[in-house]
Amino acid sequence: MTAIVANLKEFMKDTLGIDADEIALDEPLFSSGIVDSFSLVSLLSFIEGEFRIQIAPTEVTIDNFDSFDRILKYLDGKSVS
Amino acid sequence: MITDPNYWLLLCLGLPLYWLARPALRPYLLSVGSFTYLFTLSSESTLILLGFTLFFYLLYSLRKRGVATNKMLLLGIFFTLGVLAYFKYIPDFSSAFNDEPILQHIIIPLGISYYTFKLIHYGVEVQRGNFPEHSLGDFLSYIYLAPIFTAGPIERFEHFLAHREDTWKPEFFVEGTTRIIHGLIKKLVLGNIVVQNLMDALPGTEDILLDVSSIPAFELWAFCFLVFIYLYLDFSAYSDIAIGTSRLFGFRIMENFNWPIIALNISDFWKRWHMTLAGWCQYYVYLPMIGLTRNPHMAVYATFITIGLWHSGTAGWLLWGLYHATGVSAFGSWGRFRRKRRWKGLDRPGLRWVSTLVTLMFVSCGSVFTALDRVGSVSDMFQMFRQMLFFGLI
Repeated sequence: MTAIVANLKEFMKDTLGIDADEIALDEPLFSSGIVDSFSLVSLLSFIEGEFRIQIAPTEVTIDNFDSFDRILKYLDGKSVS
Repeated sequence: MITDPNYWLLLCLGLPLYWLARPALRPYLLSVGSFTYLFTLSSESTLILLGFTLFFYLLYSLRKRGVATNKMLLLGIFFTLGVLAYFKYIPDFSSAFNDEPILQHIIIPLGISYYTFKLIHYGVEVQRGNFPEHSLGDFLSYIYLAPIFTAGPIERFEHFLAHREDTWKPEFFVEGTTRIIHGLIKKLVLGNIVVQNLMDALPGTEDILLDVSSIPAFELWAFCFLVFIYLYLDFSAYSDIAIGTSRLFGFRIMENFNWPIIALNISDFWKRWHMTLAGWCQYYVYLPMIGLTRNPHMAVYATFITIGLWHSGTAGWLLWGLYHATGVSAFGSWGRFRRKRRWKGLDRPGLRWVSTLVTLMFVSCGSVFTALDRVGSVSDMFQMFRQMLFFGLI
């Protein structure tokens, strides 16, 4: 799980230009504005490519992607570990 | 609301009764009190909306027993949207194409925009299975809560349930009345006296419509700025009074404004202005559009068209939505470009006031569309816009 978060943080830092090192696992990403609307699309594409999953339109919700914790839970549901 | 003696009567009579009642009875008591008050404002529309309210609770109950399917809930949501469209937009569309609107007799139910969005939120989250078990009283007290019924905030049901308290505390009185007094000062002193007097010294909409080219650009800018400030004071005052009144009943309602006049950019502005509407659209328009299209620009435009049309089905509000969508979309692209190159730009502490000023000018300029809505034509709006941007040189 920590590897997944490290992977996500590295992507956010290198590609999205977001200083993600200090972001806590339960800290809101999208609703707080850390990840803006445009970066969210890049993050979704990265998650799909990196973990070889398909994110259905109805799964793009605050509940699934608003924090690292929620992303981990979502990926866990998709059997990504 | 605040000029209606019945509202204050409801507060004075309802408050002691509410806290003296047994906790299990309170949601029903609050529902009856709110419903009675809304009935005094508009009996027909209150009865029309009661039918929808009970229908959605029935869907929830059937869903809980495993009888109602997702399709039934979706049908309910689309049916509600259709009703909103019928009551809210048909009269406007009708008057746009006919000199004598044939559908002028349609009664627009009181607070229908807020009511519909709360109902859609309820329907979607019931479908997603996100709500804890709740009673009819919980739902009725949420949907009819009088202080927030006509002018928001657009409360979320799970927030409503999680932020109500069963035991009276003196701080409810202190917090509630303080907030109500803040709202009254904003509305009656700052808005109705200070800003209104400043506006009286400037050309009004009649002068603008008569000959906008004869009015200096700086006066048009001042007019738009004051229109925006008046709207902010008026609307946030209503939110303060609604939040304060709800606090007296032990509820902590979601905040609606967070100093939008100091926003650093247009994206930041929409995190501070009408936050509950922006949040609703983020949940139910923006993210589904991202899921469907993966195109943030399309999602932004869909969101702001929804926000514009939510206010009114007129050309002015539609253009206002498109104007803000263009601002947010352009700022998003610029932010992405800048982040990749790690440019600080106006984010440097000494330059932040410039960002705030630019944001304030952008937002004020958008008032052109709302100030002339219904009183002027689209051509009038663009003429005023041109006069402001090019100082009458073009």
